[in-house]
Amino acid sequence: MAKPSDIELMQHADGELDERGSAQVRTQIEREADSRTKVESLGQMTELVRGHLEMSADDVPDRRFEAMWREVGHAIDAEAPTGLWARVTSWLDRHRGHLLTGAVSAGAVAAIALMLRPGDPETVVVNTGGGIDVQPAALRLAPVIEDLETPGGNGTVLNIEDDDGHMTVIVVTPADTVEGI
Amino acid sequence: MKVRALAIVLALISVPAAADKLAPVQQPAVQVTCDLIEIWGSHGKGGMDAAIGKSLASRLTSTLKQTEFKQLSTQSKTIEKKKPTTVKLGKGSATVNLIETVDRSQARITVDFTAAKGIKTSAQQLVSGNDWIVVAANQSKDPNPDAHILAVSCK
Repeated sequence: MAKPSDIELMQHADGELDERGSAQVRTQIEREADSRTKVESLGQMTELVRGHLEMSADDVPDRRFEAMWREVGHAIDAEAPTGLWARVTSWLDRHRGHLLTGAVSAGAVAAIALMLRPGDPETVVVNTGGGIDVQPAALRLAPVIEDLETPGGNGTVLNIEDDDGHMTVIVVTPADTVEGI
Repeated sequence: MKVRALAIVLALISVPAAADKLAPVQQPAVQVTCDLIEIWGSHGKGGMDAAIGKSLASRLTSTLKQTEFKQLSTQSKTIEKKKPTTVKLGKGSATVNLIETVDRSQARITVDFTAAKGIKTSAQQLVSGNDWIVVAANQSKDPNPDAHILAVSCK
């Protein structure tokens, strides 16, 4: 097997090789002291860099972290509404969905209540003043007698038409009575 | 979200159904106003009572045999559709019933007139507004009988 290159040794040290490649590199490291030395050096260098970074983070003053959080807080507060009306509209915006649900639900309940309430038996009759239109005499239709009853008498019908309109005259004469029969 | 949608659907379904249960539909009243003039006709020299309108008076004179006409009573009644209204007269009574109005210019009415001596007449007529229906009940078969007259005009 060929000697592993420096890049392969670095990938192995960083855990970037697959199992097969890593096994091959381990086999070569066990055979060759030079490769073994390089891998150990790479590991030491990695530890040195990590330690340095951790030590650097520990050196940041707490006051600086606190200042950073204060800046974050100020940025959040800057977006908060000022003034009564702004706070009200802001609240409405946040709770718009809940308000809509409540209003619709209230409307549904009111509609159901109307459905279930007992009906009012009285019907109000509106007096509109009614009546029939009085046409000019010349335009009026002639009257029509549709039924006439003159019990116990005889009826004679006369229809009159003049400039004042129509008039129907029903003359009733008592029927003949025969005495003694 | 589901609750909100359910509430909206419930409201949409309920409102139309509830519409029928709202205040009862108000129907406009169908009615006419009728003038009822009671007249006594006889064969005297008194002529026409001045209280009787000229139009009606001239027609009575030209139509009936009587020569003297005296107004006994006059009334104006508002009559609702299918609500017969009975009017007490000086010497009898009359019942007027509005069956219906036709084309807003005519009325189909019945007039039941109980004249003096119990002479009854019932007439159903389709008449235009302000036209007259006159029932003259002769009181006897004499050549010159008195007449108990009822004149009805509606509008």
